[in-house]
Amino acid sequence: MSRKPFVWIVLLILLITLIALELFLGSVQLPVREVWQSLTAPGDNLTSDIIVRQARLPRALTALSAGGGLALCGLLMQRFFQNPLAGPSVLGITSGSSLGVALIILLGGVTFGSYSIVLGAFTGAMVVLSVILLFAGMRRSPVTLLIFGLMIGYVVSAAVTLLQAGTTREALRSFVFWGMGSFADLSAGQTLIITVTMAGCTLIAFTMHRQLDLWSLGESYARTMGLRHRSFRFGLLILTGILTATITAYCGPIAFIGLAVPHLARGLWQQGRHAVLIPAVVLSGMVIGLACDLISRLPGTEGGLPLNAVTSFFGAPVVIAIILRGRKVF
Amino acid sequence: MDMQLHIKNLQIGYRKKVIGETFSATVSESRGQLILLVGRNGSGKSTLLRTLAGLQSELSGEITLNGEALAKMDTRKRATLLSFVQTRPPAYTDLTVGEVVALGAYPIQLQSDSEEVRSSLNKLGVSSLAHQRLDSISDGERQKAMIARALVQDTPIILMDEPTAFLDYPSRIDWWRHVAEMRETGKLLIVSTHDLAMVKDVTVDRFWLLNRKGGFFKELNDYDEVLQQLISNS
Repeated sequence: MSRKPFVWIVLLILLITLIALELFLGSVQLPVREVWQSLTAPGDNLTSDIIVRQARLPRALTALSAGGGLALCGLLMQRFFQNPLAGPSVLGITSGSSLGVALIILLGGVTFGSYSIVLGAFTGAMVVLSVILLFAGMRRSPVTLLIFGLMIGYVVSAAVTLLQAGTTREALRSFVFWGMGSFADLSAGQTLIITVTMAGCTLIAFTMHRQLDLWSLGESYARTMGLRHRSFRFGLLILTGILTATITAYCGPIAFIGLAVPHLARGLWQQGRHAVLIPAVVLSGMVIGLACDLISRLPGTEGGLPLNAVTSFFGAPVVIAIILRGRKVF
Repeated sequence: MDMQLHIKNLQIGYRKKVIGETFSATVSESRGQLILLVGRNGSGKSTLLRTLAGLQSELSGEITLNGEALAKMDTRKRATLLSFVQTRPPAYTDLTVGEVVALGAYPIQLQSDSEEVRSSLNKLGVSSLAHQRLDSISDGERQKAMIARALVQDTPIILMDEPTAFLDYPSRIDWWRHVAEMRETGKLLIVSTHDLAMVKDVTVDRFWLLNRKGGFFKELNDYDEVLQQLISNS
């Protein structure tokens, strides 16, 4: 499948190790045997069952699904816009989702976990995506598009600030906490929604791998080589919108994973074919998602570090490297 | 393959901006042909080629291929009849040359080391580049890779928009030799170029001259007359 099978093996070992650490580490010390028993044959120890099955396992699954999903969104957007700096957080897509969520929570008084939040996040993401798409058609420069995305982010943040000014203390507290990003405190059902959405979108994206290869030659070549571009564009945008919105609705607007991980995977696999890149990027995203989550709950950090602070420490240097390397990125 | 290309009262333009006047032309011979599209910068050569390739719509009039309107043709069917080589080869892909050439067979899945890919790369003299990334080779080599891709696409018509614009002198000589060989295999080649000095010894079946003044579209057969008209219109 790849010229570098050992990269797959190392990443898979890393993934399994990080999942194990997610399950075995935590503020309550549990023996390895008890954790294993809670996973395989629950019932003997109610406390460890609750900790493992209702807190640690959903958190691990959320971290790997959100990490993989955001990384996939980043890959699809970078390919779609032919822009190495594209990504859900950089182009303001997650900001769009934030505005949708803010409208639902701060004006509607809806609590987290409600499906209307997912709908709000999706609508916000799709509105911003459409605006970005319109602008990308007029200005091709990657840096101009990036600046436009940042400006959209500012405008959306300003709108969110206005909404915050006129809301209740509880709703504001709840929204600010959501904005920091977290893979914790999701129910089994919510975790399942994120995991199934990520898996489904990955499968659909994989079926589009040859169209994505064609698109990498540019729109004109892709079209004259037989790509039905309208359905392709529509499908890709809907896919990206659903995935970003679902993850953002439940985990908050998580920065940089979508932008940085595709570059990391490209560097590791040295591959351009999307049949390899899609699973490679999703696997790398899972590993980075879990790693960022584990760092965010390092011992000594009371209540844990905000997830977005961790992902920014990881992602910002990648963006700087991309700008410094210029054209050689793709 | 017998190919009938009819251009009827065509008005080209870009984003509703009209270029030149309406014109008609017909290509109906079954043998291979080389049509050179010439004219000054901004005369509409690229717009005409992009319209023929189905990348932008006719402002009015119609282009038909074997009696079927190009504008209404399914993208996939059109790709079996027409291939396109742009002025600038793609620069931001991380696919290898072999992988790009294999994509020419889309929607059929071809391996990058298949016989078709190797044979096309051999014809263009770039088989040694098969495993290199397209964005790591020179503009001229990349352009040859894109032609090899068009050979795998194996369409009866190949459109090329100033394909030699970024090539050095020896590569241009090489290039026009390949074009002449493709004509011999029965392809209809419509190539826009400013390279008139280079094509003096190439068999050109006809010239399509685009002018901003004195009649927008002229079909000519004589090389010297084309030069004269280009100079008199400048």
